[in-house]
Order: sequence, then C-alpha cells, then structure tokens
Amino acid sequence: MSDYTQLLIYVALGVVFGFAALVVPMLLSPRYKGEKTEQTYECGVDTIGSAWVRFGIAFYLFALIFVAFEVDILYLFPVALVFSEAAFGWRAFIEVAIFLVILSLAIVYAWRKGVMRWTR
Amino acid sequence: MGALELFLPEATILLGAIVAFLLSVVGVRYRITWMCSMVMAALAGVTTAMHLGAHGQPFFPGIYTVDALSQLLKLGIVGGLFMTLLASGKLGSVRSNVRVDVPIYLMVSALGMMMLVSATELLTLYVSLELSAYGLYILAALHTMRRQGGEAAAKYILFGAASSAVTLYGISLVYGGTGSTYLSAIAATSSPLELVGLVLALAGVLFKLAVFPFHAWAPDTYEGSPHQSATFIGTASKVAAVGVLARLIFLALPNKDELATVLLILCIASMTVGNLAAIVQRDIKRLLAYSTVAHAGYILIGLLCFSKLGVAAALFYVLIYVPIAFGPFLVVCVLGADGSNPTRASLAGLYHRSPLLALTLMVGIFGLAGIPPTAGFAGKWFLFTAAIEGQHFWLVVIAAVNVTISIYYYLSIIKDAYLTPSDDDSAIRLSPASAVAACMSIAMVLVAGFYPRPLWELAEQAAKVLAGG
Amino acid sequence: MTIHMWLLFALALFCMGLYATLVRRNLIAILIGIELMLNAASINFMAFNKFVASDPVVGQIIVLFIIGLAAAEVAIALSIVLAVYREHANIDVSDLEELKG
Repeated sequence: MSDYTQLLIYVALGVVFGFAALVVPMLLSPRYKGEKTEQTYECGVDTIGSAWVRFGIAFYLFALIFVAFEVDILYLFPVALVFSEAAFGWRAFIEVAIFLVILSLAIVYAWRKGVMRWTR
Repeated sequence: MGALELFLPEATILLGAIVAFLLSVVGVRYRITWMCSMVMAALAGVTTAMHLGAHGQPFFPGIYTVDALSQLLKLGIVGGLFMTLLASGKLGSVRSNVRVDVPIYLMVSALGMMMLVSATELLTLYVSLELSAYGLYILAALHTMRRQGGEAAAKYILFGAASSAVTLYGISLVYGGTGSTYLSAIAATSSPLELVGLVLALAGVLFKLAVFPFHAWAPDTYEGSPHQSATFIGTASKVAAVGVLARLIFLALPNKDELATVLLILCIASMTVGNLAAIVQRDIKRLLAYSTVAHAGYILIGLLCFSKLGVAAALFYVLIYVPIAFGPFLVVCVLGADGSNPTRASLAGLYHRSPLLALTLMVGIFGLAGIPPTAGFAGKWFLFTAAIEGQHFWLVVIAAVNVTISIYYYLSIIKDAYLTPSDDDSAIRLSPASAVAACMSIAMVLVAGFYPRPLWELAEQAAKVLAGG
Repeated sequence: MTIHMWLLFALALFCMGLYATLVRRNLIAILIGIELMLNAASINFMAFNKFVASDPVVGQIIVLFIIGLAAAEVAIALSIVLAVYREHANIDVSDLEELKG
C-alpha cells in the first residue's frame, strides 16, 4: 500500500466522520418545530439583550493559556517527521517529553496562581 | 573543556530561574525566594569570573560561541542582575501579589541576555533577543499604580515588538543575501542585500540600547515601571545590547564607511536629544532615562570607529556604566520604597537623612558626568581617544559640548541632595542588602576610576575577538 | 513564480504592517501590524529558502520558531493590553498620555 493510498483512506475517513456527525443526529433526534426554533440561539434559555456583550475577563486568561499550547504543538511536527528513523526514536521521544513537561509547568503555574478559579 | 562547563554560568542562572519558579509555585514567602535568587546569582557571578578566559563552542559548533567578548559581557550582566536583586529586598513599587514572581523574570531575562552575547547564529541571536525582552516586558507592567504600569508596559512592548519585527525582516534579508545564518559565514561574504538587512537588523538592538530614534519608550517605561525593573532595564540590558551590536556591525566590515555614517548620525542625535531633554525633567527616573539615551550615544562613538581601540572603549564604558548607573537607581529604589516616584524635590536634604545614600548618588552622578576620579572619566577618556585615533575630531568636539551640557543637570541633582534644606529630617534606614549594594557600587566606580588597567586589558582582549590585532 | 514576486509580496506586506503600527491608534490594530511584519519576514525566509539557500531546512526551522515566538509575544502583549483596558476602559493610544515630563 503506497503512502498516498494511506492518505486517501485518512481523507475518506475524515469525510465520512464529518458527514456521520451530521447524518446520525438527523436520524436519531426527535423532531419538534415551534416558536423557539426560529430564534438565533437555542439552548433552552430565552435570549437576553444584544449579541455584543462583553465576555468575562476570565475567558481571556483561558484563551491566553490556550494560545501558548496551541502554537507549541507546532514544534512536535518536525519531531514527528523523523520519529520513525532509528537514529532519532527514543532520543526524540525523551526530548519531546521534556519539552512537554516544561510546557505543562505553565498549567501548574496558572493553576497555583488561581487562573483556574472562575471569578467574574 | 566540556560543553556543560562552558555553559556553566548560563546553566546556573537557568537553575536559579527554575528554583525561583518552583518556590513561587509552592507559595513560599517572597523573602526566601529573594535570598535563593541572590545565592544563585552570586554563584553565577563566581562561575562567570572563573570562566573569564574560557573559549569554545559548546553543544553546536558555530551557533553558540564562548569567547573573551561574551564572557566579559556576561560578567557585566550577572553583576547587574546581582545588584538589582540586592536592591529588591523590599519591592514597594511592585503589586504585592506578584512580588514573588519578580526574581523569575529577572533571571529568565538575564539568561536571555547571556545567551544573546554568545549567539553567533542569527536564529539563536533572535530567540535570545526575544527571551531577554519578554521578561522585561512583564517586569515593566507590575507597578502598584496600575494605570501607569499598564501604560509603561504597553509602550515598551509595542515599541519592542515592532522593532524586533523590523530586526527579523532584516535578518531574513541577510539570510537571502548570504545564504547562511552563521555569523562567520556572513562576515566572509558581502552583498548589497546583506548591508540593507544588517541596517534593518540593528533596529531591535538599537531599541534595547534606547538610541535615538528608538528611544521614545525609555522615559515613559522607566517612569511607569517598578523601580527595580527600571534598574535592571537601565543597567544589565544595555550590556547585552552593546555586545550584540558590536558583533552585528562587524559583520559589515567591508562596507564599514556606509554603516559608520548611519551610526554617526544616530550617535550625535542620541547624545544631543538625551542631554537636552534631561535638563527639564523633574522625575528622577525620567531624567535617568534621558541620560541613558545620551550614554547610548557616547557608547556608539566607540563602536563607529570600527577599530580595536574603539570596541574596547565601548565595552569598557558599558561595563563600568552598570555600577555607575546603579547608584542613582538604588537611591530611587530606597526613596521610592512606598511605591512613589522620587522627584528632584524629594532629594532635598538627602545628605542629612542618609549620608551613605547621598554618597552613592554623588559617586554615581559624577560617574555619569565623567568627573575624575570616577570610572566615568576613564571611560570617556578611552572613547574620545579612540575617536581621535579614528579621525573623528569634530565628533569629539560635539561629544565634549554634550558632556558640558550634561554636567549642568547632573550637578544640580547633587546640589538638591547636598545643599537644598528639607522640612523632613527623618533619617532613612538602609536595609543591610541595600547598604551592601551601595558600597559595592561606590567601590566599583572608584576602583575602576583609579585603577582602570585590569578592566581595560580585559576589554582589549574581548575587542580582539572582533577587530583582530 | 520567480523569487522577485515573493520578495515584492513580502515587502508589500512589511510596508503595510509598518504603516499600520505607525498610523493606527488602536493597540490591537498595532499588534496586527506587527504580526504582518513578522509574516513578511517568514515569507522572505521561505522564498530565499526555496531559491537561493544551500541548506533548505534552515529557513523552515526559522519560520517555525518565528510562529512560536510571535504567539508568545502576542500573548504577553494582549495581557498588557487587557490590563490597559481594565484601567482606561478603552485601548486607544491617544489615551496613554499620563506619563510625561
């Protein structure tokens, strides 16, 4: 099986999962159409006020922590490329593990400094 | 020598940062974190001094170089870090909930600076530049007066990020012009694209050094950031900036006349703008900021000569600048222990309130003004000698006029501290750490002034790395 | 495409970013301008990497680092902007004028 066939299978699986997530609820969920269905935001609570409200400041702190992690995932890609080569295998694994431990220190820091406590 | 041994000073500081981080996470009192950080900084100072003559390329050949230049500058950086920590016993101007974090950022930033002066590859250089800057950005934002602290930090990071982006664009052009990121390979080639790139790449470094026209952040950031942050920004970060500036401009040796012209204009503008603006300042920290701008101009005199003597003079000057500038900053830290910013008026009667502090201020200010027998005089002497040797006669004349202007406002500070009477005669109690810091600063400035030879020889050896001979 | 197209594109991006940093009064807009400049540098690196470099890995690694550093810088800058916003209730640079001699 060539590399591209594998890739094709992954793409196909991705598409199937995407559609399955749409189709399965369509088949399984109960249908109801009423006055509330047409409203913009539907989660059992009536919408209040305009959409242009200010978010709690705590959201931003979470977003900042997220940004740090999301971008640092980038550095895992070059490692992933050489991971299967014998010269890199375990060494790469250990180095990435150290990298991730240092990254998770950020979580420990944020947790100890009370970022995780939900205050408004 | 093993790679780790060459990296020992940096490794000590890194360990110190990790220890400070863990202590902060565990939640111990600030005093304990502070003392541990000082021990680590002192250890780093000892290891740096022991490795002063070391040379080699630990870990990755060509990327990270330990030589006479980097080791001498590291000594200055660690010295600045240690003295700043000595003055940080009571962080009155820092919000109480973040005090424990100050040593972490100080150490991480110092680590970045130490790596910056050793970096001989453009990516390493850029990453170190950013590492040293991020700590400083955060340190600038911690003032008890949140309004001013936010403003100071916002100005600092926006100027800093913009100039580092320009630097990066310049680095990309250098890479395109030469096809390599190793400084040794870049120095061997010469192309117009490389020269344009280098000039752009200087932006980020000139920003750190607060050279005109990259100085606009300095007064506001110094005024609005905590005293200890301003001390660190005003002393140690200058040493790192001069080191990397020297390494960068010597890459353009084949085109040195063009670059020298650019530096000459910046140098004259910096001296003049800094000194003229400093005259009217009432706030001591703002005054010191403008004086930093002027001193960045003086240091450029040495660098634009492109000679061994010039580089040695610039290195000597920036190294003695650390204890010299530290003196007035220490006075700010002590007088502003309640979080307020000392003004010229609050210096009144300082001589009666604390003779040691007044002496520290006087020695520091005399050093800044270049009055003998302080080290400031020796430093200016070397700079002007180098400029005359480099045929820059009228530059020396302009610099001499500037020094004269600066003596006016420096001496009026001394007058405030010694002659102006004050209503408040209550004695100021210096903490032991501050007293030690004051004595260290006085001793260094005077010893290097009376006996500049050892430091000058070290500076000459460091200059040989770049200018040969 | 030739290297000149890429370099001109990067230069245009850089100039737009620089213009935004110098002219815009909104702190977030200035940050966006800075990001544009960083991206211009990244494009330069990739272009030189493809057309002139001897070792094509270097440029790619540098770009990875630029992305990471830019994110870190923006995280710090945004938190400082947030602090400014809390105190000033807006993020216009013209309002940052309390500190002066």
